[in-house]
Amino acid sequence: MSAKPHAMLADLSHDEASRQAYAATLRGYTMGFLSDANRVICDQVVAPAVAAKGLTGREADRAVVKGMEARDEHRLWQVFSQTWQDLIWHYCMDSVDRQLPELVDRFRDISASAQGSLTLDPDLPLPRYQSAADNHRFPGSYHTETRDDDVRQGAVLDRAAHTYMGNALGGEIHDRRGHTLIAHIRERFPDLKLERILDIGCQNGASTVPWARTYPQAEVHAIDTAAPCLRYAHARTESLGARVHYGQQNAEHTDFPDGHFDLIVSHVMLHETTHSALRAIFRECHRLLRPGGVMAHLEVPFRQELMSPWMKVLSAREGRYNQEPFWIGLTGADLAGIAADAGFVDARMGFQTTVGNGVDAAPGFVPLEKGKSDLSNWFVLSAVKP
Amino acid sequence: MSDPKTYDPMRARVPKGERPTFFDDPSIDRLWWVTLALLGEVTTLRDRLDAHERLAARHGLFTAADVDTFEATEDEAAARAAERQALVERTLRAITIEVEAARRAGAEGQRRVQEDEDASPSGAG
Repeated sequence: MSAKPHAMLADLSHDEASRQAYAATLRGYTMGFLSDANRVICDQVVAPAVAAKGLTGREADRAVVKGMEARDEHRLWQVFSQTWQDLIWHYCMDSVDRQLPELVDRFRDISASAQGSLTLDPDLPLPRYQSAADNHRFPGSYHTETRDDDVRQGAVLDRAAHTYMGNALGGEIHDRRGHTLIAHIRERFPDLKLERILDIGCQNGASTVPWARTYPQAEVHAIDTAAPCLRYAHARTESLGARVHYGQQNAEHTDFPDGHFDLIVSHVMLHETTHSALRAIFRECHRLLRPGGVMAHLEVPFRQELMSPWMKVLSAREGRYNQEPFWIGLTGADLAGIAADAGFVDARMGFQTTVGNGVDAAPGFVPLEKGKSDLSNWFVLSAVKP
Repeated sequence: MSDPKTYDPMRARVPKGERPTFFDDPSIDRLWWVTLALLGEVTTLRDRLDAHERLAARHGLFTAADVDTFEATEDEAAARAAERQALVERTLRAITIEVEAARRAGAEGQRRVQEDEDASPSGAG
């Protein structure tokens, strides 16, 4: 086994590593062979039959899902999709639970001599979109605490991100989403002066760290509603030698002063909110930015208007079976329009080439219609506070 | 926020909501889960066996023929039994979760029936 990138990452025994490798293999079979067969059946048999009946729009989308769900090969794909995901959670939880007391001790030790900070607010109410569902069917979601000074949920997520996505997010350090958004800012706003940066919905800090490392002279803040993730993020970040100030806050209404930040970012967070929370978050970003400041949100590389019938079935699965109730809403939302409503100007939606996958330089930030529905790029919305 | 003092171990093992099923008979979904988990244990075991055989060969320690005639000591057998138990529990998790939920619901129902009986005039009289 290769050396761990930081002290907080849970160890894997031989068998734990084998089980995770198996989960990745099962995912590969499901998302490769089974998914491809379903794609062909959907796009070439089921969707044309629906179209032949004269159905269009949402009605057609629903009819395609219904047509697919009546087929055994699709039911198999559904069962396999759900099982590999549940297995990943269980395998990662088994591994983290075995060493949780040591991880909590490590958090306490690191935290005692930190260069950044951690400010928790045990009385912060959890927004309903966080308490109502366990996103991705992650048992206990981001916020459940199993002991004092708990870091469990953060530790499980840090392991699962690697098992779940393989190397697509950047291996065990999975910092490619952060680096991709940094590349976006450098491309679109090369002259933006960065003294204070805020990352909202930072989870375990995997995307926050690249900001702190790339801009060591800047003051980097990061907020989330989930204490176990924040504790883990704090110790993880310190262990990686970066300085970040973490706080337990709701991005819809924070306690930072007006005009405090030059840049506010988020990484694959907005799709776990709601239509109204999204608007509230954009309004809060507007309040927190100085004139000329920028907000930039990186999201899943899928847009409803670009989807094939099969991609729409995949997308429906997220909302219906994977406890991602806002998945379809967000991937169909006019985020540029919502940003304009919140007072932003120069709002643009597009796809930013993923940094670190071997094609760093080109094509950079491209318009929506040139995006690809895969992890070679990420959706980005960015806008300026006038 | 959740409170560690009132934390239910099931909360951190089972996601909210019902587990979706896709076949007409949900038993088939369950069986797939068990089967795919079992496949995971088999592949893990294969990996482990492979590690043993390669380490043994690398150090010139033993051969496959020695494995064929192996007899466990009492302690070794007990350790094997514990590992076997853990493997069975991992593999049957789908069933454990459902049956435990049903047991809890059953225990809750029984408690309510008992309380109703205790509270009713005939029960008291």
